Amino acid sequence: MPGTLDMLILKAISLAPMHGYAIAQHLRQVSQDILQVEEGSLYPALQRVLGKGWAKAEWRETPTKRRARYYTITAAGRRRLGDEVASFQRMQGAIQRVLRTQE
Amino acid sequence: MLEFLRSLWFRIGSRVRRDSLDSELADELRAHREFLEEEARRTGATEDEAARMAALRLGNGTVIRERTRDAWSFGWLEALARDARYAGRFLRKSPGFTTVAVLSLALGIGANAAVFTVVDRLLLRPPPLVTDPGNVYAVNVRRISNPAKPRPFYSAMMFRETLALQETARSFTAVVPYTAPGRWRLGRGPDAPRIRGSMVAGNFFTVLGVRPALGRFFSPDDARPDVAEHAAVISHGFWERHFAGAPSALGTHLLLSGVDVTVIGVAPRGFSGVEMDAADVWVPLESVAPIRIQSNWQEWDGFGSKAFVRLRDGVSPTAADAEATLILRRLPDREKYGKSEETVRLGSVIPGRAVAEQPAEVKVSSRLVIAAALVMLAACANLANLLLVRALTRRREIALRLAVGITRRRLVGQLMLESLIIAGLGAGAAMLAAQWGGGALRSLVFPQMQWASGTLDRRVLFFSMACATAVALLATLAPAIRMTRADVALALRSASPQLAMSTGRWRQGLLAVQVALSVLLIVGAAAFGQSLRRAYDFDMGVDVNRVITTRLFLEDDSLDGAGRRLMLDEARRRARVIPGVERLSIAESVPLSGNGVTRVSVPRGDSGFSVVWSVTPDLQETLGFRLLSGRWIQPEDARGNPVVLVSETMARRLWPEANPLGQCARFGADSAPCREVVGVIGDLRTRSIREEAPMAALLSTRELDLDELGAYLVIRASGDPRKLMPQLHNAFRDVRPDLATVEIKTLSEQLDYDYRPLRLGTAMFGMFAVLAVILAGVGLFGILAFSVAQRTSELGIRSALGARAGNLVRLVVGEGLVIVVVGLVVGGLASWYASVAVQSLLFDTTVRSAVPFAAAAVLLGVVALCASAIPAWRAARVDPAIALRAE
Repeated sequence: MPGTLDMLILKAISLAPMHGYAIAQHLRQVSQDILQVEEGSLYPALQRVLGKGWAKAEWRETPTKRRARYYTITAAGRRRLGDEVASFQRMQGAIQRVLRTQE
Repeated sequence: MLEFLRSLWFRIGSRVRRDSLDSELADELRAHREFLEEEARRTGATEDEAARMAALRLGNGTVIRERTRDAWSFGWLEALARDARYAGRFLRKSPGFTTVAVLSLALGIGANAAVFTVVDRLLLRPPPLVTDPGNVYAVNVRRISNPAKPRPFYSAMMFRETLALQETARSFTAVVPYTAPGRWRLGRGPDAPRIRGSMVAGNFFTVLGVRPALGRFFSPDDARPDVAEHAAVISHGFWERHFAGAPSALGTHLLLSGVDVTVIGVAPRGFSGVEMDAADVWVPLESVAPIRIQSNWQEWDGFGSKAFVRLRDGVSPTAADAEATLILRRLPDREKYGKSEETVRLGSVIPGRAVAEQPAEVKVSSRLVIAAALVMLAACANLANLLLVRALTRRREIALRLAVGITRRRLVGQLMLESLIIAGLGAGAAMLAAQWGGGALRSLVFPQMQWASGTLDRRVLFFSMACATAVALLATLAPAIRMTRADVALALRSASPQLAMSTGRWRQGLLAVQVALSVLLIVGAAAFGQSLRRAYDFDMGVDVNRVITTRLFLEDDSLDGAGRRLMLDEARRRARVIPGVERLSIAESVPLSGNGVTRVSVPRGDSGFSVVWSVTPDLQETLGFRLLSGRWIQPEDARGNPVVLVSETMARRLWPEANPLGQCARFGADSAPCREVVGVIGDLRTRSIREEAPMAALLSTRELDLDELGAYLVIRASGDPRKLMPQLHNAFRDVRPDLATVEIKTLSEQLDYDYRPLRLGTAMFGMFAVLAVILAGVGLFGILAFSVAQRTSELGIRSALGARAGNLVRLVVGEGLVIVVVGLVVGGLASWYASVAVQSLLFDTTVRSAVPFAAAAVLLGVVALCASAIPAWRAARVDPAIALRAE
C-alpha cells in the first residue's frame, strides 16, 4: 500500500532517533520477520520523509563507535503519523468488517 | 500547501547540493552495508559470504540511488526538459518539415492578427479617448429632394441646421457642429505643404471629454467671432512631425490657408474626434468660419457641417430623432436653400455600426477578416497534413523506441511536445508577421489615420495560437496513439500499409479542404482584380486619364476677377509652350472636386437637383466631354440667349417622352432665365465612380466668375500627364513672385478614393490566395511524394509486369488530380454561395461569372501539375529490381 512504508518509518523513529539499518532491524523484529523489505528501498522513502519535513537527519556516532545518519521525527512528522495511523486503522477496520460479514 | 512549499524548497535545495547529496547517500548506504556485514559475521559467515548476504539484503545500489534522486529532483520537469531537448534536436534534423510547418502557422496566424488589428479599430471600437462614448451619436440626415420620386440620400448638413439643433434641441446635453477635415495650406510660398484642418465648435473637446497632452483646449473666449488671435489645437502626430514634440510648440503661430492661428494645445496621441481620419489641426468654428467660409457663415447654403451630440439621460435615440427632424423641418426660408424633406437619424460613432454609408475600406476590411480566417484554416489543414505524414514516416523509429522500453505515455508526450514546439515557434514568427503586416496594412488602407494602440492585439494572438496549438495537438495525438498501440514486431519488420491507408483518407480530405479554401480566395482576388480593371477603364464622362488640373493661389487673395484673369492668362501663356500640352483652358471648377448642386426645373414640368458647370466653349473639349446629340456650346452663345448642354440622365428624367433638344430648363431661382437645350452629353460622375449618374448640365457663360475661390487651369496632355507636372510647376513659379500655391493633380489621382478599396481587396485577397495556393501546392507535393515512396514496391511490380513509365506517371498525377478536382468542386460551390458577401463591394463585376472561376481552376490545375511533377518523375524511374529487393 503506498505510503505504508512512510508510516512504518515514522512510527519507528517516533520511538527514538534511528539510522537506516536500525529502522530495518526494528521493522523486522517488531513484525517478527513478516515485514521484510529490501533494505535499500528504505532510502528513497527516507528521502521522501525528509523532503516533506516529517523528519530531520544528522550524522552521529553509534554506541559501537561507527558513524551513521540518524533520523529524528519532527512535530509535523508526528502529526502526520497520527493521521496515517488513524486512517490506516479506519481502513483496516472497514476491511475486517467486510471480511466478517462474508463468513 | 505548506507541505508542498517545503517539499519544493527541499527539491530546489537538493538540486543545488546534488553532488554532496549523492556522496552522503553513498556514505549512508556504505554504513548500512557495514552493519549488515557485521551482523552476518556475527552468525559465523566468512568475509565473502557476509559481503554477498549484505548486498542481497540491501538490494541494487543503482536502483536505490535512482529512486532516491527522484525524491530530490523535479522528476517530470526534468523529463520534460530532456524531451524538449530531444524534440528540438529532431526538428533541427528535419529543417524542411520544421520550416514549412512553422511558416504555414506564422502566415495563418499572422494574417489573422494583422487584419484583425485593423478591423477591430474600424468596426468594433468607439473612437479612441472619448469619455463615455456610449451616448455620443453622429447626426445623420436623410434627404428626399423630390417627394414624388423619392431618392433618399444621406448628406452632411448646413450650418444653419446644426446651429438650430444646438440652440433648440432639448434631447441633447450638447450638440457639436464641425467640418470634416480638409486640406489646408501651411505657411507661404509655392511649395507650402498641405495639412488636414478641421473647424470645430468651441465645446468640441469638452463634450468629448478628452484631456490635452499639452497646453489647453478651447475656452469660450476662443470661440467668438471677435477674437484677438485665433486659437488652434494640434494633433499629437502633427506635434511630433512638425515640432519634434517640443513643448515650445505652444504659442507658435501657424499660417493656415492665410489664417494666422496660435497653437494653444496638443491633443493626446491617437485622438481623432469622432472621425476615422484624424485632423492635424483643429480651430474654433466660431472664430475662423467667418474668414474661411464667409462672414455670415451661419447662412451659407453649402452642406459643410457635420455634427455629433451627447444624448440627455433618459431620452431614447428615437425620440431625439423625432425632435431633431421636427426642428429641421421648421427652419425658416427653406425654399431658398433648396427644399428637401429631412429626416434625422442618430447613428453610432462606431464605424462598423454607422447609419450612413460606411467607407468602402471599412467594408472591404471586414471581408478581409473572413479571408484571413480562410488562410488560417488552410494553414491549419496544411499543418495537420504535415504532421500526419511525418507520423507515418517515423513508424519504425517509434516502434524501435517502444521495443527498447519507453512507456507509451512518455512517447506520446514527446510527440505532442514536438507539435507544441512547432506551434510555439509558429506563434513567435506570427507575431513578427503580424507586427510587420499590421503596420503595412494600416498604412495601405488608412494612411491618414492615427492609431492609439499598437499593431499587436493580445486577444487575437491568443486566439490564433490556441487554434494552432489545438490543431497541432489533435493532428499528433490521433496517429500517435494508434502508432504506439501498433504491434511493435510487425512495424519493425515491414512498413505496414495499414496505418498509411487509414490516415490517407484524412490527408486527402484535408488537402481537398485546402484546395477549396484556395478557390474561395482566388475567386475573391480575381473578382476584385476585375473590378479594379473596370474601375480604371470606367467612363467618367470626361477624359480622366489625360487631364491635369492646376490651381493657383495668391498669398493675399486681394486680386479681383480682372487681376486673376491676368495672372491666369500669363500662366496659360507659359504652360502652352510646354511640349506635350495638347489643350489648355481656364475653369472655375473641375470634375471630381465636389461640384455645386443647383435646383433645376422645367416650366410646367419635373424638377430636381443638378450638378451644374459653367463652361467656356474651349473647356468642353479640353475636358473631353462626349457629345451624344445636338451641338457644342459656341462662342456666339455667350452673347445671345443662354443655352445648356444636359447629361443623358437629365434628358431622360426631365423629358422622358420628348426630344430634349430645343426644350428649356431653368437653373436656380424661379426668376432665372430659361435656357435652351442645345445638346446632350454622356453622363458625368462628379464625386465617385460608384455614384449613380447625377443630373448634370453645362451652362454657357459669358465670362467665368473667377472671384469665387481659386481658379483652375485645365490641361489635356498628349501623352502621360505625369511627365508634364514638374515642367508645369516650374512654369507657374515664374508667373508671379507672390504666387502662394500651385496644386497640380491628374484627374485620375482624385479617383484614388474609389480605387483604394478595390486595390486593397485585390492586393489582400491576392496575397492571401497566393499563400493558400502555395500551402496547397506544398501539401499536394508532400502527399504524392509520400505516396510514391510508400508504393515503391507496388510500382516496381507494375513496372516488372510491363507498365510503361507513362502509366506510372498517370497513376501518380491521377491521384493528385482527383483531390484537386474534389477541392475545386467544393470550393467552387462555396464561392458561388459566398459571393454575396463581396458582391456589393465590387465594381461592375459579378462574382458568379466565368472569369473568377476559370482563374481558380487554371491556377490550381497548374499548381497541381507542378506539385505532381517530381513525384511522378520518381515513380516513372522506379527500377523494379531495386524496388523489389528493398523490401
